Formats: sequence, structure tokens, C-alpha cells
Amino acid sequence: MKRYILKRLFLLIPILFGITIITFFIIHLTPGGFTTVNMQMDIRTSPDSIARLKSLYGLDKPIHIRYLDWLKRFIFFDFGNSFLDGRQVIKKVLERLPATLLLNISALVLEFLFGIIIGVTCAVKRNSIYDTGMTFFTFLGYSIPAFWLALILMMIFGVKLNLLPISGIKSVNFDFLSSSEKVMDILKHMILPVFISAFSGLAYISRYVKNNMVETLNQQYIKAAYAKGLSENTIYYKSALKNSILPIITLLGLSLPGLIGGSFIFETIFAWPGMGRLAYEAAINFDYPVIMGVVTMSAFLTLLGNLLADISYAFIDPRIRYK
Amino acid sequence: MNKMILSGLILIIFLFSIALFAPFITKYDYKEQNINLRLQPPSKEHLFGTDELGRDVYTRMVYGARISMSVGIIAVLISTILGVLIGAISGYFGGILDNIIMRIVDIVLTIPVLFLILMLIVYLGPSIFNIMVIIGLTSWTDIARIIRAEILSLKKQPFVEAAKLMGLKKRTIIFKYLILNTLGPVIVYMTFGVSGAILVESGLSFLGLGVQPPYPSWGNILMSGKDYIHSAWWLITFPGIAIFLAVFSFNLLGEGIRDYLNPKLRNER
Amino acid sequence: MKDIIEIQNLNVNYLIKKNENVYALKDINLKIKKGETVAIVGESGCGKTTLANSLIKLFTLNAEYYGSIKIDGEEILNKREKELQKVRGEKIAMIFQEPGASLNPVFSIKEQIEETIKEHKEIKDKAILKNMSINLLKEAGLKDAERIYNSYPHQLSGGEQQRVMIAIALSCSPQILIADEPTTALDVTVQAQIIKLLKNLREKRKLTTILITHDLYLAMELAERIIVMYAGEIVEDNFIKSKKDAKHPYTRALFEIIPDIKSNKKVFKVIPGDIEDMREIKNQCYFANRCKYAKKICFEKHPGLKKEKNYFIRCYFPVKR
Repeated sequence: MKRYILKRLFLLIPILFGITIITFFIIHLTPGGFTTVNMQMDIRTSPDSIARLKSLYGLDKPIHIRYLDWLKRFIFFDFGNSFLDGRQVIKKVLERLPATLLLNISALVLEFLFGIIIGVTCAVKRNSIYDTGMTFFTFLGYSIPAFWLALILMMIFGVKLNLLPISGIKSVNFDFLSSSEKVMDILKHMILPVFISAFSGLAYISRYVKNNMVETLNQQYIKAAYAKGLSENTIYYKSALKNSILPIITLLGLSLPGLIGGSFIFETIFAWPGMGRLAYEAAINFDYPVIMGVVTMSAFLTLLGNLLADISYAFIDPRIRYK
Repeated sequence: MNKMILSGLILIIFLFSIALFAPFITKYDYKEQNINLRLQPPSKEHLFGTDELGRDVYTRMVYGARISMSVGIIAVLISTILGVLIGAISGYFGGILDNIIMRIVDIVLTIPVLFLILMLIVYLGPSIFNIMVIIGLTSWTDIARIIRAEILSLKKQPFVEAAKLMGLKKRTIIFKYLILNTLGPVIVYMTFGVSGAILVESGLSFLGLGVQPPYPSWGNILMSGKDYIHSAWWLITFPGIAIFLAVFSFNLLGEGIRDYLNPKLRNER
Repeated sequence: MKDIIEIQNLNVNYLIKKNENVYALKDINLKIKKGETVAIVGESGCGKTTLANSLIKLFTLNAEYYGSIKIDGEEILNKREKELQKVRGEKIAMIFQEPGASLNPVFSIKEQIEETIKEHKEIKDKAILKNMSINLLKEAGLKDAERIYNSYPHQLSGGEQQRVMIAIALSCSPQILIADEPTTALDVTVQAQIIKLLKNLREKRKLTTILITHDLYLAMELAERIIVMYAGEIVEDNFIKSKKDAKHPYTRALFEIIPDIKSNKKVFKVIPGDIEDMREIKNQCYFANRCKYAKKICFEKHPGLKKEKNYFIRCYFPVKR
């Protein structure tokens, strides 16, 4: 097992480098890029000023030199300053990270929790009305475009019924609220985005769990468990469940990339001050340092998360743990 | 056949017909603006109302069907061909080549796909063609992995050994013996791929990064809807239902095919 | 001696398509006395596993069953799941063909033995449970009981796994043990050990033993009473020690096709023809197509199971020689 972990950690480095290289080259695909968008639109700008601006931002050097420059600073965790507002990239990223994590982790927890519950109960009661109903319901879940559902619910709950806030993470009067009121305020703002995000995701998980569980229930050792005279509760929720849950960890691992940058559509609709939105704004405005910062950090966190998921899996499955 | 495949196909044919016969079922031009009639609710004149520039929503939706569906299908074709080839080569040749390819897959997967697409579109420009290609180029990893796994297990089968011994060309073995045997999962993947691609395209258009006006897309109609959420419910409701129907029908078809291909009667306890 | 198992007119069929059934068991009538050892012999698909499963009412979702099965006087087929939990494991225990597949891969041996004891006997004390488990493992012939107790199934060999299955089966002191092809998936040397173990255990614990196998000589090794099944029916229920005791043409043929290591013959004997299509009920002897003694009546009227002296036979022309 130790060798396995070490090997994975080792692989982390080239992958991370690969990501930075690819991202760097992608964002420099547009000839000119930052200066084009911000300067050349204005015909009054002299070619001289453009050239000076380019040299200021280091955009006049050939691309591989630029990459090496970036790499040199990256090694010291210096991502440079944003082109848009000059602030340090790290600061910008870190101040947005909590909001994104709050949103995505809550949604992740909910979708796995309900996904597993629904999946397991559907497998136990397979072919019943409950099963058919739930399957249909979850099927709807992954066929409805999430951003549309967001709009509809915003319209109903936010506008017509005025029950829930539809934008931002806190209300205007946040600073004047008591501590407990502050928590309630944030929770209220979280309801719509988290619920919609979870709803779309739980469909896939519940069907995955159900299929795993049904496959497990067809195994010989489950038949042997019945022959031993164990109660059905024990068979379903102990013998079968553990076998079906193991693959979920893999699924958890696959959901990690989305945890940090994948929610930018939601963040845009709900004006949620998260990293996704930061990345989106940076991309549109050709703010290269910020983009590199966001991508690199989220990639690193994702790889770490994947590694943890793999290690957990190897740890929990006795077939791998005790080779 | 089975109910899901049937109902899925019926819906898809319905949507295709709408797209195909667009000129015959609409009376306005999708570009035609009419400032006097902006933001009109649904009426006899304008079945689904008008948008903020006075364009007929129904017409835009019908032509939007053409764009949304074709983007979906072509993007999937690109990703499937790419993914199958890469997965097959990786699986068949193994060794270092396989390792390198799998590392590349890991890299592509680590960057959140949506964000990757976003960057590519911003930096390559949002034209309909670009969108198709970009979506195709960013979603081949799933199928590549599946194909690679299938091929790895097929490689061990005796009939492949036999083929090698008979001296068949590598190309023949890869295409006829290996890839053809993986047709089932590929078809399922493609079907779900279309619904996924339609969702992605709508999402991008919704954010203004996809199909650009004046070309109509269900997603970009929703974009206007977002701004007029307080007043124009029809701009949100109808396009969304259209996207839902398209996605739902392909998902239904995919589910149906997947169930059909599964080992049929499993004697469950 | 009381009948501990009494099967009357048991019919089981599997619904495979809308109007298509596979008739796995047809009119099974069978009585087994307490303490008896019986071997059920037949080819694949003859229904012997279905019969074994029926004894503990372990049916698949598409199975239909009719008739009566009484275990120790109690009717099994109309018991509900909760009531069956008292029978399975406690009155009847079963071990299966592939021991590796019959053990749950993600739980240790310790957990798998103890969960049975916990549920049936409601003992919670850890020390007692461990003691009982180790003793059971030793009784099953595992000298290295402590190590096995802490292991996971994948760490054990086939023989060890089967012994663990036997230990689990014995954990609640059942009166009946069903062994469904217990040695088919194991090496021949291990096979001999397991059979020897089963013999010792039935002596020691006075078990009523039912062995299910396709291997005739293995059957005779363990049991005197052999029940031969063909196409879902019992064709012979007799005390067989050698070929000349066999009365049904099929049983005879089973003896004849086993190659003789001493002979010089170059061609193996086979039973010509194929097994019947189990999807139809026919009014004829199901073995008639392959039988060398078959006469006209065999194709026209289905023979019943007749009692002769101390055996049962389903044939119009049993082999007397």
C-alpha cells in the first residue's frame, strides 16, 4: 500500500505541470489577448502605448519565456497580480474559495446522502411502485437543465412568492445582524442554489447506487446469507450495503474537480461570490494571472482529493488492504 | 421493442420534424425585430410571446431547434470518434503509449470541463462551429476510458489471439474485432452524449458564450429571460421546456438501449 | 425413526417469458428419516439444486412452486420470511459449490461466523463468541484457527474456505446439512479431506446429511441411499453400492460412461441424445429418447414413481440383472 501512495504522489507532479502548461497555452491562444481587448478597441490609442502596455505586462516576450517566468514565481507560490485590479492573485482566490466550498460541499453532501438513501431503498424495494416512482423522479432530475430549474425556482420563490433571496450570499443589512441571524441569513441564501445543484446530481448517484446494490444482491454470498437464516435487514443493510458503497468512493473522487470550478454557472445566476465566478470574470477579461492561479490551485486541490479518495478506497476494501 | 426506446424515438422524431420543417410552421423571420411589440406575452399573433427586441419567440425556438440539435449531434460525433480511437489505441498497444495517454486523460479531467470549455470559447471565439468542436474536444475522455477498458478485457479473449496468429493486420484486428464488439456501450454513450451536449450548449448560450444573437438558440433566449425575470415569464418557461424535452428524449432513448443491451433476464433472488 | 424431511408433490417452475415456463421440478415425492444420509445425483439442469433450495424455500423472484415440504413436521412452503429465519441455519444448514463466492469478500471470517451466532442465539459477549468461533473452526479441521478467524476470504485457499463454510453451517447446531456440490470447485486431494470431514461430523453430531453431486462414485462414498434425478424428476431412489444395484436404465448408463482406467478401449461411452427441453410437459418417459431398453409404451405414457420392495423406480422396464 505504501508503494501505491508514493507512486501516486509522484505522479501528481507531472500532471500538475501538464495542467499548467496546457492552461497557459490555451489562454495565450488569442493573438494579443489582453491588450487587444482592452486597448486596441480604442482607435485613439497609439501603437506606442500599446507596445508599452504589452511590455509592462510582459506580453511582448515569446510564449515559452513567459511560461518559464510564470513557473519561476509559481515555485515560490507567487501567482503574481491580477491584470484587472492589480491585487495579489492568491488573495483574490482565497477570499472567494470559502463561498464556493460552502456551496459545493453542501450540495455534494446532500446529493450523496439522498442519492445513497434513494438508491438503496429502490434496490431493496425493486420493481415496486416506489422504485418506479423514484426512478422516474430522478430521471427527471437529470433531464432538467439545472440553470433553467434555477430560473424557474427563482421566479416562483424569489419573485412571485418573495420567500427566498435570489442573489448573493448575504443580505444588504448583514453587518447589522446578530451572530445567529447572520448564520440564518447565509443559510437562507444557500437554499436555492444548494438544492438545485444537489437535485441535478443526485439522480446519477441514486441510479449508480441502485445498480450496484442490485448487482450485489445477485451474488452468491447473499444467497448464502439467506441460507444462514440472517434477517433481511441484516442482509440488505450490512452484508450487501458495504459491498455496494465501496464504488461510491470512486464516484466521490470523480466529483471533486467540479467542487471548485464547476459551479460557475450557478454562481453567475445567483451572484454568488465564489471562485467559479472569479474564474469566469477573469477568463472573459483575459486576466491571465488570475486564471492561472485559479486553475492551478483548483487542479492541485482536485488531485489531492482524488488521491485521498483512492487511498480511502484501498484502505476500506479488505481485498486491496491485505494483499 | 421496449417502451423507453419507442417513446424516446417518437419524441426525437417530433423534435427533428420541427427543426426540419421550420420554414413551414413559422410565419415570422427569427431575426425580425419590432420594437413596438417588445416583451409581449403569448397571444394569438405570437404564440410564445416576443422577446426584448420584439422578435417572435416561437419562431426563434423553432429555428433554435435546428441549431441546438445539430450542435449536440456533431459535438458527440467528434467526441466519439476521438474517444474511441484514443481509447482503442491506448488499450491495444498498452505500455508507455498507454501510460502517456492515460496521463493526458487525467490532466484533461482534472480541469473542470465547463471551465475548460469556457476558456477555449473565450480564446477561440464563440461561433457555432467552434462550439461544436470545443464541446467535442472536451468530452472524449469518458468514452476513451470505457473503450480502453473493454479492449483490455477483449484482448485477453482467445479469438483475438487466433486473429493475431492468422496474421491479420493490426488495423483489421483493432477495427473489426475489438471496436465492433464495443458497439453497444458506444451507442449508449453517444445517445447520452447528445443530451449532455445539448445541455452544455444551452448553458453556454445562456451565459452569452455560446450561439450568438441574432442566431437563435434555446439557451440564448433564456439569457434574455434572466434579465426580465420579473416581467416576462414566457421567455423563461418555453425555451426551458424545449431544452428539457430534447434532453429528456435522448436520455429516454439511451436508457432504453442500455436496458435492452443488458443481460436480459437476471434471476434475482 | 421419524421422517425429518417429507416432500409431497413438489412442483417448481420458472417463468422465463410471458407464457414460457421451465419446469424444473415435477411431482417430487421424497421422505428422509432423521439421521439418514442421502445423495442426490444427476446431470446439470436436472433440478437437484432447485430441490436443495426448495428445502429452505430459497426461490428466485420468477419461481412458482406448488406442493408441500415438511421439515420436522412443520410445513415450510407457507412460512413467511421471518419464520423461515428460524429454520434456515438452525434446523437446516447449507454449504455451496464455490466457497470463495459464498463468503462475503469485505467482511472477515470472524464477522461472518459470529453474525450467524449473534442472530440465532442472541449471544453478545465477545469472548464467548470468539471461543465458539475458534472451536467451530477447529471442528471443521482448521488447526490454524486463530489466524483464519482474523482473515478475510480472499486470503484463504479453496479448502480452507470450504471448511469455514462448514464451520458457519454448524454454528447453530442444525439437524440437517445440505451440501450442494461441495467439492466440485476444489482439488481432488482437498475433495477427499472434505468428504472425510463430512463423515466425521455427521457421526459426531448425528446430522441428517443430503449430498448433491453429479459424481456417482462420490455419492456412493458418502451415502448408501442414492436418489437419481433426471429432467426434474426422481427416477430412482435406491440403496446402491455398485452397478448391479442400479435398476433404472439412466443410473446404469451413468455407471457405464465412467471410463475404466484398466480397460483398453479407445472410445469413451456416452449416453446418446440430448437432455429434454424442460419447457414442455410431455406424457412420456423423459429418458425414453436416449434409453436402449425403451419400448412403445415408454413414448406414450408417463411412468409414475413405483415403490418396489425397499426402493422407488420410475420405469416400465427396470434393469433386473
